[in-house]
Amino acid sequence: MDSVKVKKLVSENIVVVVLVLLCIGFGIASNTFFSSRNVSNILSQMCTNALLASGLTYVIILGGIDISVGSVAGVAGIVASYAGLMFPNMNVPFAICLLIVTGIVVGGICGVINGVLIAYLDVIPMICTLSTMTALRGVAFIMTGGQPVYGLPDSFSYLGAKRILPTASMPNGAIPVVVIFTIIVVAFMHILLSQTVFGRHVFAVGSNRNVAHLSGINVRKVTMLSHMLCSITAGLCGICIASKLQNGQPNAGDTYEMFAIASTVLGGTSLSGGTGSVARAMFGCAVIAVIKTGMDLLQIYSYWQNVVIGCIIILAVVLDMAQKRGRN
Amino acid sequence: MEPILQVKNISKTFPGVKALTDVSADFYPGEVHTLVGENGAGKSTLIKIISGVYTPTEGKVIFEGKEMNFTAPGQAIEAGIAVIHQELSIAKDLTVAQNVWLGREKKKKSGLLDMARMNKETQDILDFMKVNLKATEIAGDLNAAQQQMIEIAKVISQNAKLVVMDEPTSSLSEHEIDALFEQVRILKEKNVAIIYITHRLKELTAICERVTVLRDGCKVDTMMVKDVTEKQIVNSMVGREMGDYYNKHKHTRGKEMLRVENLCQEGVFQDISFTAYAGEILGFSGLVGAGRTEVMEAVFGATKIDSGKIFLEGKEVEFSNPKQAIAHNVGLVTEDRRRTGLLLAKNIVENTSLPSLSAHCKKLGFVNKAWEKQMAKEYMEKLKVKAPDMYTILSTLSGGNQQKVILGKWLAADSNILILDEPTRGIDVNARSEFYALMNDFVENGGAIIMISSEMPEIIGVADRVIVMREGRISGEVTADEINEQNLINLASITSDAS
Repeated sequence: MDSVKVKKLVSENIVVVVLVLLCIGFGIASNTFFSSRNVSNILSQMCTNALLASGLTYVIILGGIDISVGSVAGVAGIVASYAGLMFPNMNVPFAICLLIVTGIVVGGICGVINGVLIAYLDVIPMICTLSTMTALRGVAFIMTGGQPVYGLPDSFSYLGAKRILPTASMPNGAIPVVVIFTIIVVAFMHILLSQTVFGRHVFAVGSNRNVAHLSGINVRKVTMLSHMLCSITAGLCGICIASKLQNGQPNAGDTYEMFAIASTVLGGTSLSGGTGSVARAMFGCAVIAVIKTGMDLLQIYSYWQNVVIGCIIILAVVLDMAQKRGRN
Repeated sequence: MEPILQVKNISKTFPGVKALTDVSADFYPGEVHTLVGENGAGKSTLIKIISGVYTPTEGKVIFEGKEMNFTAPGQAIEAGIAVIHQELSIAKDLTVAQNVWLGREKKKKSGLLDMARMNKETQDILDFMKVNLKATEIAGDLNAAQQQMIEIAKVISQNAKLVVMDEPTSSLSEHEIDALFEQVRILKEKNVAIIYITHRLKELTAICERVTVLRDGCKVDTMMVKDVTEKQIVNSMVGREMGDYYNKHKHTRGKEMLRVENLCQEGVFQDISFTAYAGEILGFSGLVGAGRTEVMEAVFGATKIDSGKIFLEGKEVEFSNPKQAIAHNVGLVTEDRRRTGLLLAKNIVENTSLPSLSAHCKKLGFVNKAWEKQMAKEYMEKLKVKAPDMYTILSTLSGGNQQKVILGKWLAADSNILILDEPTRGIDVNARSEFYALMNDFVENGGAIIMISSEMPEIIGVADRVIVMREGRISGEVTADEINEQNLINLASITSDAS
């Protein structure tokens, strides 16, 4: 009986087990892996991915997908950079507000586009977001003429690059501001999904649209709002990238969608919909971040890193499907 | 004459249900052998066993003297058994010839498709059938009757020795039926054995030699069509002892709850008017496809109506979605639990609270988990749901308990009008009996129930009043002592004396 329980516990939390094993492995292979500097690095690198994954969890639970998140992030970063140029003398609180508002507005608009197409015009999510991904990346290049947006004040970079709470070993600060910002957004997304009626409706629609509809749930509205949330978190991811770089790159966020989808699926959110959790997706993000920084420390050639990440995504999806077959 | 196919002592058990019990029958080449019986009598289970979709729990299928152990439908086709399903399996974007050879395409030596040969052979078959169709036409441009001809051409091209036809005439006009019968006669001349399923008894005398009557998963009798009358067949279909597990209560009719006037949905149902009262179980009888489910979905706001009015307790209402119907205390228990009734991967609590979550939420839209738990516990106890605890995942429950959870979900949503569509399908006798008792409680407490059922004994055993539908229209209403099988069958089916 006990061994059955242990087995169940392990298989339900496989991502945690993998994370621990990876940390032990890299810890043995590299003596700097557990240094406070590296841990802090991993955390700040996780943030962009974590923001994307928190929103993607919603649309993947619906049984959909959004691969336009990277492009949405790119456009949001460009818009935020141009907005920042208009206020060369802005202070830190103003800069933070400007960035967040831009992220929400740009993300919200992109989310409305995706949402209307998918929820009301019944376009297949994959095709819809493939198209918006391409179009929005084009928009980012048109807006900038292909050149980065330079000349932003230092206050602009506070949210993405600044660290607080200095320690002896890290005089510039131990905790990146972006980590705190990400924790707030992710906590909001987690509570919205797990504790509210809206969140419950997302699960219901993802489990069975017909049942949800016949139980009085407005399936289209739920789908629309989920896509808006997904794009808004992508917008917030974009402004974090722009703030960190202190400039607007037209190709910022490119290919980020793959890492975010991988993290979400690694975190146990099923690509066939109905189950998932924002909190667990964060473990998926941690696994991806640990693998990436671990490979950096071991000086594995970056092209190989892409191969490894691609294989991990395939593995995660195969495991997801195997579990599904097992349930049936 | 040697039979080409024998089924011997076939039994088939599904979890909780015995679909067939000890059925034996012989099928001869060049003969049309009809299976008749009410819905749930076991006809489709039997043909699924013959065509290799199911394996029997007990018994043998002997085809051409050899015992068959089909594990996949492909093996039955290879052996020479073809099935024409009620819903045609036509790829609409392909040509007639491509459909006929689908999955068995002819190839040239080079490995490329030999389209010319497939077109020619198909055309030869169509000409042999004397059908005015071209092999190169796109299947999707043809009407239902012509598409059926593609299926028959396919059967001929396979050189099938046994053809199963599942209600082939259900979507055809009189004229088209004659054309189909012509093809059936051609197949007979080719010495093909045909197993034919129909609800239209007058078709028997037109093309059939033998008829086997099934009832409750058992064979009643096999008869030669020329020796019996339609009435004798009907009698053996329905003549069953009614179990007393219905425990029929005499209800007293209360106030008017739901009145529907002249409801129409073009091409689906026309001119539907009826009234449901508190304290009454109103039955809806008729054949599958008569439009009963569609009417109820429209009343519930799940589909749009073209014209007509709906009144709740005398006040006119318009439901453009189920949410509004639920807000007016109407609940719909759909006929397909797994597809439209339950979130199978979710637990009892989540399923029970689903329609009423918004109405009971806390500030800022947070789920009221205390209310939710208390509600799930209350209805689990009231409805005697057998499950380890309230967090049990629905897919692990038996059909009867799943159905109770659905009932609990609508009771938790304060429904006072319940529409039940085939509520006891696939549920064993004990669970049924409990479910009927719950239905009686509900109406005795002032609720109104509308129950669709295709099982005559259930309608007779449970309903206070019965409305019968036929082909999208109400064909009659029977009350009290008039509710018997003969009346219901006459109103529901297209028999020779019906207009």
